[in-house]
Formats: sequence, C-alpha cells, structure tokens
Amino acid sequence: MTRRRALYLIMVLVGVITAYPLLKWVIYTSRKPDLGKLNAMRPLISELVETIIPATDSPGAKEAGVADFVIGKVIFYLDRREQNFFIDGLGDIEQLSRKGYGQSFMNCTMDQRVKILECLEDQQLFLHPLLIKVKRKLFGFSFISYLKAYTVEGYCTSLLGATRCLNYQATPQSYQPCVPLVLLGQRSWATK
Amino acid sequence: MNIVGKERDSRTYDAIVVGSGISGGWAAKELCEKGLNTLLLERGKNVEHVKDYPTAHYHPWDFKYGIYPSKQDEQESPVQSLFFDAGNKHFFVNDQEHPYIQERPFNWIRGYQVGGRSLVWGRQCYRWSDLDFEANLKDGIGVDWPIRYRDIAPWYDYVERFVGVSGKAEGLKQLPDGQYLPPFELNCIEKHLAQSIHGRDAQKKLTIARVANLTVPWHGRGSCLNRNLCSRGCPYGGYFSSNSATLPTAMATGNLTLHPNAVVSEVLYDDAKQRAYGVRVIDAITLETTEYYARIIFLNASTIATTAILLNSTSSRFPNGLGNDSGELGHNLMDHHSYAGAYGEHRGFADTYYKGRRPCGFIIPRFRNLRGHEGLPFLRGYNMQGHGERQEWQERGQVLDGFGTVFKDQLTKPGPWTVWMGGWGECLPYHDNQVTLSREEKDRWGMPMVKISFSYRTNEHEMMEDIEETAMQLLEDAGFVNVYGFNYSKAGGSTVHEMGTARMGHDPNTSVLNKFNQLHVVKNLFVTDGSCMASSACQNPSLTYMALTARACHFAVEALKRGDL
Repeated sequence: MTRRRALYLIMVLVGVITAYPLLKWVIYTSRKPDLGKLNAMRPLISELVETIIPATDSPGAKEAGVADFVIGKVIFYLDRREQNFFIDGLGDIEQLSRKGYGQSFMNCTMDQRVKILECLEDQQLFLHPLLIKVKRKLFGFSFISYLKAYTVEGYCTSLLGATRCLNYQATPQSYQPCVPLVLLGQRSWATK
Repeated sequence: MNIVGKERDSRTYDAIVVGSGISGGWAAKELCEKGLNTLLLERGKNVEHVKDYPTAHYHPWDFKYGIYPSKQDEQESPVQSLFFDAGNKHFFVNDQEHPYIQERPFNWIRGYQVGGRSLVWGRQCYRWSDLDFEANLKDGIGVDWPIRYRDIAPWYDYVERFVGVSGKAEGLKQLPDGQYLPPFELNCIEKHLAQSIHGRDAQKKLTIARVANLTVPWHGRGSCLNRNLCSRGCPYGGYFSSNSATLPTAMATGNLTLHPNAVVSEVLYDDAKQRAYGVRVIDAITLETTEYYARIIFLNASTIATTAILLNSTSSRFPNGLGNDSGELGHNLMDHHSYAGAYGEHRGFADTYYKGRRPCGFIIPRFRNLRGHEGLPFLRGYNMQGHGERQEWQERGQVLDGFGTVFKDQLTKPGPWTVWMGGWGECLPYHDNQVTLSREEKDRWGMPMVKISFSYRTNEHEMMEDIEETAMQLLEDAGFVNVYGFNYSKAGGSTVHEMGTARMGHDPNTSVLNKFNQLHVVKNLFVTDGSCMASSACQNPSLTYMALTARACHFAVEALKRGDL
C-alpha cells in the first residue's frame, strides 16, 4: 500500500466515523417525533416505571400514575431531538427483550426486566466520560437516564409516593434540627 | 398640556412613590405614617396578601408534571426561567413581554407586581459595617460613601424592629448585631462544621442565617411554619414582604393611594423652580398617558429600572438624563458573585435527621482583608452561605445505580449528610459596567429599551478562586469526604443583587445622590433603592435599602416641615 493510499483510507474512515453521528444528529433534529406513539406505548411505559420502582410494602410507580407523568415530561420538557431519542429508546427495549429472552418485555419476569434495564444503564456506565459528554451535547441524556430520572421525580412527587413511601408533612410547624432517625420511621422527607 | 382646577387637584398628592418592592413599600409606609397623602405607582398587576398566592397550599402532586420550568417556559422566558419554578413563576416577568438588550451577558431578574421581588427574595438581613463604608476611600476606588455606620445604625434598628429578623448576636465588628428574634437552630452537621471551623481559626465563625422569617408572632403576622415555600407568598405572613407588612400598614393610615398597572415613563422637571413636579404614567393595559403631581418624589423602581426612568427624563437643563451633571448616571453597575464554593459528604451522625423545612441556612461572616490588605491577590472579601442536609431522593436518584426493590429502598432512605456552601463576594464598581437606553428599540409602552453591559473582572475572579479553595479546605478539615469545589461561572445579575448606577457621594461632580439620597441638583427627588449604592460590600443588600429609605423619608418630611423642600 502506498503512503498516499493509506492516508486516503484513513481520511475516508475518519469521514465515515464522524459522518454517522452527524447524520444521526441531522435526522433526529429534523424528524418530527411521533408523539402519538407515546400514548400507544403507555402499557409498556407503565411496566418500565414499575420495574424501576416496584410495589413493595408501599405502592409502586405504576399505581402512583407515573407513566402519565413520564409521557407528559417527554412531550412538554424535551426538545424534538430528545423526543426522537426517547421514542426510539422505547423501541430498543422490545428488541433487547426479544434478543435476550425471546419474548416481549411485557411477558418477561421482573428479574428479566431489571436485567434489560441494567444492560442499558451499564452501556452508559462503561462509556468514557468524555464520550458521554459529547453524546449528551449531540443527543441529550440517554433514554435510560431520562426514563429513570422522570420515574424518580414522578414517583417521589406523587400522592402515593410522597405520602405512603416517603415521609410528607405539608405544614411542619417547627424545625427540630437533630432528631433520632428511628423516631421518624427511617424514610426520607418527600420535600426539602 | 395645561390642566387647571379640579382635574389637576385630583391628581396631586403630597408624595409620589414609584415602585412597591422592598424599598418602595417602606417609602410608602413611612410617608403615610408621617401624614403625607401618598400615591404609590406600581407598573405590574395587583397582588393582594394571601388572596393572590394561588400556589401557596399546593402539594408536590398538584403540579402536573413537577416543578421545573418546561420547554415553553424556557422559550418564553429564557432568563427568568433560570430562576423560577412552577410554584412562583407568576411572580416573575415574561422575558418576551419585557425585553432588554444584553450588550454583554447580564441576567436581569424582575418581578413586576405589587410587592415586586419582596415576594420572592432570599430574606437574608445583614448589616454593613464601617469596614464597608470606608472601603472606597481607603482603596481609592469609586467615590467615598457620604455616610458611615453611625449614620445608618439607628435606622437598621428601626427597620429590623418592624421587619422581624430572626438571628443570633455574635459580637462581630464586620457584621454588626441587630435587633433579633430568637434564631433558627443549626442541625447536627452544621454544628459539627461550626465547631471545626472556629476551633481551627478563632477569626472564622459559622452562625445561623439572619433572616426575615418570624420565629414568634410579630406585628399581626404569624410565626414561620417551616414549610420553606416562601417564594409562593406566605398565607401566614411568616416572612416579610411589602404585601404582608409595609403596604397593609401604609393602607391602614388612610393616606395611601395604590395604582397598579402604572408604568412611569419619566419624571417631570420644572426648569424655573429647579424642582421635579410630577411623573408621567402610561397605563400598562390601555396605554393611556396621565400625569400626577407631588411635592416630593421617591424613585424605588429597582436598580436598573429607576436609572432608566432618570435617563429617559430629559429636558434642556438635563439633556443626558435628570440630575446627570456628573455623567455617572447608569454607570458602576454591580452584582455580587455567588458562584464559587464547595460541596462534601460526611459519614457521621447517620442515626440523626431533622424535622421541618427550615427556611434558611448558615453564614460564615467575612474573614478576609479585615485589617487592611492581607497580601491576597484581591481587595475586599466575601462571606460564605450554605446549608447542611441529608441526601434525599433528589440527589440519591442521580447517584444510585440499578432498578427494582433495592433501588427503591435506597432511593427513599436518607443518604449521607452533606454541606453545600458558596461565597457571596464583593463586586467592585467599574465605570463601564453600565446601563444605557437604546436609541432605536422600544418596548410596547414606547419606552426605550434598556441596554446592559456588564462583566466581572480580575478582582472578582481571584476572589472566586480563593472561595473555592477555602471552602474545600474548611470541609476537608471537618472530616468531609468526596469534597469537590465548583465555580458555576454565571453571568452578572445571577445573584439578583444588582446595585449602583446612581451612586451616592459627597461631590455633585462625581455622584448622582447626596448623603440623604436626594439628587444633588433636584432636591425634592429621592432615590432609595439599590441604584444609590457606591460599593457592594458582600452582605445581601435589602436590609440596607430599607434602612436608607426610612432614613431618607424621615429627612424629607423634616425638610418639608421646615419649608426646605
């Protein structure tokens, strides 16, 4: 291989590597997100939020109505690019599930569902921090980060989450600076 | 326009106050109590105490999609949405309706309503000391303050007694004690940090914040109930605002006329008598123009807005803005920086927690350059403000890996104790940090748009570096782990302590206002909001505006009685 040809090949390779995210960026930014899909996927979203925060001795995210919260967040809080990313992420869940367990996410056991979400989160964990930064700049936070953050916020601010899992006091009256945790039932306050 | 007889009489008052925020509320109260028939003009909508606090009793789940600003909020109000949430956004302006020009970045945070930003303020009440009033003279920076601590001390007493400030006397020269209600208490981690700091360096002290939240019922207002929802308006009157305190008091005298939706476009000046004789007002809704007349006028429209009114009040005598012989009007804009600091976790006290949501944190009063220059690469100093708490779901949700039962359990239990603290630092007055009026662009009321040009300089940046290092050190010394320093590097205005642009001073050639906040050359016109400041110190400034206002009102009424005004 001549030097010139090697250089040429490297340039083509660099071109392809940079063109892919660019192309993806252009597509994700310009494509009108199919928000109707979100409502159609409500049952899946319900199971996803319940996988993140399941019913235990206190209600889970499904009963707390967190699916509606997540859908509202995607519609009113994300830009077009992030919305596309989120909707595609929902599709990826189904793919992962079929690849890993040969069945739809809806039919998976709780353990299998948790494993699928962990798989998505791990992909993020092993990325180089700089790469994560670049990715965020281009595409916003990952699907799994948004799903998890919105589920946490939706659950912890819901009537059931705040009052039956966390500890909520609308009108505390006084401030007691140092109270034994056992007297407060071990759970966090719902609001700051 | 020649108006005679009854028509003119009906629009004539003893005094006019422009702006109903924290200083305008005080001006209205003082002037009304002293028997003056007073017109209070407010450009925004009316906000009645309690009745107009729509979100005050909302629970977290009453906000359909949480409390953070939505995409639409960010598009409509790119600046204000950095500061509001769904619980208080109705007390902030819409940036699209109230545009301004940023020649260099400046976040101009505004609340156009009766009560202004006194509804959403941080409620910190700190006195200045002579360390601050003498600083410009000693450093040869800007102009010397025409007052000293002894001039304002009785007025600090006076306003504190009405406001109701909870806090602890500490006997510090650089942060004089005031008239305090019982203090809120420090929690476990804050007490621990306080002992560590004071033990290592007797010059440093951590004390509970001094705040306008009541710890006992006060002047007909109820105690703070530790909900920490102040910025939605308090239905119990647990914190001081114009709406809860000064305006009802002014109203009770029977001397107050309050006009909301009244945009003041200029102050009217009588060349022959060399006096201001009234103001021109544009109705915010109908755009109709009216004039009102009075013997004395107080401008309390807020730092930048007051100066914009003066710059827009031109005449043959004052082609560059009313009272602007010195050419300093609009210059020397300041805003504290509060962007550098440190955060850390502590593994101790795992069995303890707190109950209630205390509406304040702590302060470490200034400890730099207390005795002249200490060889640091910056002049003046900063105080540190912060608070200790245990990590809750808001933080846990961001750091915990995994999903399911274990995740839920960890998410909803209190995590380690943490302390966040930042340095509130003095900003020097720079001539070219300034406010001007656009010649071309106007707002919907036909007023020239305000242009702001502002930047922090070397002194502020050097100080921020010291803050970051020192804050980290204080936490590490106290056994904190995972300590990290930060500098958010926000644009000016982000501390919402904008000051200056019509500074006080001895000399009419270099300043706009005299030692009683009168315009040097228009004696019946007073400016007692943040515009008047000749330096910024590092204390939160509202208490000083209130004290200066009460002092100027007293002076004005005495002068009226003597026939001097």
